[in-house]
Amino acid sequence: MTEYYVEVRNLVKDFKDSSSGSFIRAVNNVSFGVKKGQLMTLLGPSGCGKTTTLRLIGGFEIATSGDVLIDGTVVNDQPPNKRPTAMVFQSYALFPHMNVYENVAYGLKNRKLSTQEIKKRVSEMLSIVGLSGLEKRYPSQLSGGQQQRVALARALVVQPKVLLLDEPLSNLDAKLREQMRIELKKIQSNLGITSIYVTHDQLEAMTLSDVIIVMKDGVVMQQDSPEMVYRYPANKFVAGFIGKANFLEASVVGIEQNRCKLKLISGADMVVGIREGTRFTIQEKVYLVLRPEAARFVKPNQGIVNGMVITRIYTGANAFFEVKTDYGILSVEIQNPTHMDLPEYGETVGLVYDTATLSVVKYE
Amino acid sequence: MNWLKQTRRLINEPLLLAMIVFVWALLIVFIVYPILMVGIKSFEPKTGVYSFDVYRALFSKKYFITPIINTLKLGIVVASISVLIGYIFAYSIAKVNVPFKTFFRTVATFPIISPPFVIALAAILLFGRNGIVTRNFFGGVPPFEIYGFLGLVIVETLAYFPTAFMTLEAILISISSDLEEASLSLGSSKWRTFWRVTFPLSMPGILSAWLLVFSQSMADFGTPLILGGRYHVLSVSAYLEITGSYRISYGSGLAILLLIPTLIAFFVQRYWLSRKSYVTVTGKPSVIKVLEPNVYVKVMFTAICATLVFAVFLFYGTVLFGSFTKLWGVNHKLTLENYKFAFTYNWKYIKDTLLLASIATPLCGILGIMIAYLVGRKQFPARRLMEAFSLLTFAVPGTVVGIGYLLAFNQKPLLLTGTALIIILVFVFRELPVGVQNGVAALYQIDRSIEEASLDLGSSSNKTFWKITLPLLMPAFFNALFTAFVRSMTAISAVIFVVSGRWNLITVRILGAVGNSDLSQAAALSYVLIGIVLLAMFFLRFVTINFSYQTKIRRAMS
Repeated sequence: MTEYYVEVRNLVKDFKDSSSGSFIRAVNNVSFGVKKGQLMTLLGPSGCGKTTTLRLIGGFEIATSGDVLIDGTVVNDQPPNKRPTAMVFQSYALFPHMNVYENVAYGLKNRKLSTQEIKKRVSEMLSIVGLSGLEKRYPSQLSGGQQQRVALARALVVQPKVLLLDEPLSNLDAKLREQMRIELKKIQSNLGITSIYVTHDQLEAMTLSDVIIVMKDGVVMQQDSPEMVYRYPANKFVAGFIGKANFLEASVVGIEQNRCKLKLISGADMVVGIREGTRFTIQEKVYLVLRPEAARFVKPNQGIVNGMVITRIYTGANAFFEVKTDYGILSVEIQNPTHMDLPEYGETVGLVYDTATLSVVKYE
Repeated sequence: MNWLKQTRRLINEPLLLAMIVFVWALLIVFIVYPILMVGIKSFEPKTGVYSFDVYRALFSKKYFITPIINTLKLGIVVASISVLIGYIFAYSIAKVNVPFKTFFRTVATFPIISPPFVIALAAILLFGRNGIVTRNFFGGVPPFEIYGFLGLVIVETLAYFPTAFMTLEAILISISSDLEEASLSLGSSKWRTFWRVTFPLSMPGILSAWLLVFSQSMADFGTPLILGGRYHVLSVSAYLEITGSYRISYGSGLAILLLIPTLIAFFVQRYWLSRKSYVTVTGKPSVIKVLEPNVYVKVMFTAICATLVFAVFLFYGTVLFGSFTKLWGVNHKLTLENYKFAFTYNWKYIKDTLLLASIATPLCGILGIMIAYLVGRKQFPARRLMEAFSLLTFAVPGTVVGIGYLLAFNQKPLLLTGTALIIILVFVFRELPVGVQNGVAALYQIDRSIEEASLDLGSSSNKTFWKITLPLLMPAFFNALFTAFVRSMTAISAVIFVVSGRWNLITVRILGAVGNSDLSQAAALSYVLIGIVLLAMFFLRFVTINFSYQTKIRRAMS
């Protein structure tokens, strides 16, 4: 027995490319686990294999190799209707010929419950998602947000062991998305349902997840809590995909248990925290990851790098700058800019970074 | 080993597996086997003797070579003219914004849903030796020989240009007018825009329409039988070899020669051209903007459409008139005699046709939708092959199917010759592609995740089909039923080989009446058929309106 409630082991999925006839590996040896009650996000750019992975767990695709385990049972040969999963689809996939009540009751009817029990559960679920009173409406008569809630209710009402969500918020407009994101998190943690969530929106992933899995080209790049993914990105791709990042080339000159000393190209030395267990070697070429939001302006020659302001955008809550340095253009994001003296366009400035936000990734 | 995994998954769904096996059995016994029999028979000049004798004769004797060349020539000419006319007609409706669009479009579809030889019959009534045009304008001497190449070209063009029109209209509509506006805004004239943008983009559609009409003309049996005269074509020659001279292997050989070009045309059209298409089908039609042309252009296109529609009306009107006259060309006094005769003496034909088509249609629709569902939605080994076989009878000329059934089912254990069942089977498997294609097209429009959601919520794929897919497919299903019914009612080329004294059909009777120069009776029977088709159409509308989920939603809204 493992500690995980849902587990994926060495999952591989090849698709045949219809034009060339060759195989494309959409999911490449992916392994991970989700603990009971947690929400895990598969995060990555489009085409990274996250949706395919989710569909493999739901049973909609047949894996080329590897195993899917739910609650300790291998479910590889089970079709979707035999698996204890329920999915919220990107397009919602509401049955257009059934009204809200019939849509939500659909899965319960397969479980041979009494009509009364079905009625009770449906109305409970509809009140949880805030749709009471709309039972008789058809999907085409609902707004996007309401359709989204029906889709969620329909999946939750069958009390699946695992809830699968495939970019469920991507069809909503920005305001509604923010609202549903918070609501979704509340419902998920109140019900304590184990969930796997697919998205390409890093903000969504950071907001919702207990664990984030960052994927690229069918391969898992990192698997960590949101804080750790942000604080200690596993590589250059993750650092750039989660939040914003600038990279400065540097070489390692000294290593302690959870710190390492870098020499920048400018000649400056600096000590940066690293994750325990990360291996770097002396003289190794690395990237120093700089977060724009952790930068501050200082007088020239007082920071780690000097440069000239070439872009200056003020939006009220934030101010964005681009600073041209000898090592490339660095972004700077100042929050609450009204409290500070902001440099002008063309001004020469120095930059310092809050050391706690710096991290190091391998050179690639 | 993908198929191994697919098979393993199937074992978990025994019903699905059973369905696949069942469909395969039917396809092999009733589509593949009969066609194979025709092929085998063409290599068997005498029972038990296998040789190339038949083909040696077919390619050396003038008696056989002529129909081969004739058929190809007719096909090429008819296809070329039909595509030209169809393109002008489609362009007028899709791009020029002519008035009376709906009316023009409706009239253009007449020939598709009416019996194929109505136009041939009209040609005789108009331009034949006793035709009204011949008598009134040419003093009794036919202006041209209607029995022969020219007559066939005129009649087949009128009968098949709607096919070209419908294919081309779809293509032209899908060419976004944004592209044309972009070309105009970059300084090209409308003329140049047409030749540099619209025309090249519609090229795959033009080729596709050409191949479709070519195949239809090649496979046509009724028209050349009535109007061919001394211009022999393959379908009629094959029929005469078998029913007239009892040289079944020669008939089979001719049928195979007919089959090869139509099969090639079909596969080129379906698997090569469809990929060449520049337009992407999004499921949702984009908003169609029509560029307003100048007045002269509009008048010109309207005039062309009106002329064509006038011709269709003239032909159908003539037959209608003919069905109420005593003796065409001699006594034009109006009478109901012909209909009285049709409903008494010929009642058995009407009744048999209706009965057999009514039994065949639902079977055909259900099987078609079932196959569409399997190939459109399920993963299993040889899925594409199942689709190809189920669409095969689209490509195979009726003559080949008819001969195949004649050969395949005249001995035990499948001794069906002379029964009603063999006619029903011909109907079902001949119109099977209608259901499959309608179903596949409809499935294409239904978001796959809707069915996945159902599976995911615990419904088996069987239950998902009945609860989700079928209700959403209903409109397409009714449409397939209607088309299959109409095509069965008006079919001739295949069934003519399997009818018997016990079970016969109106279409065969009409051909007989034309053969006996009983033109008024043929006209009356044709209109009885047209009447039945129209009734079926109204019935379809009624059913679609009352049983589709869209209506249910509309009612809930009000």
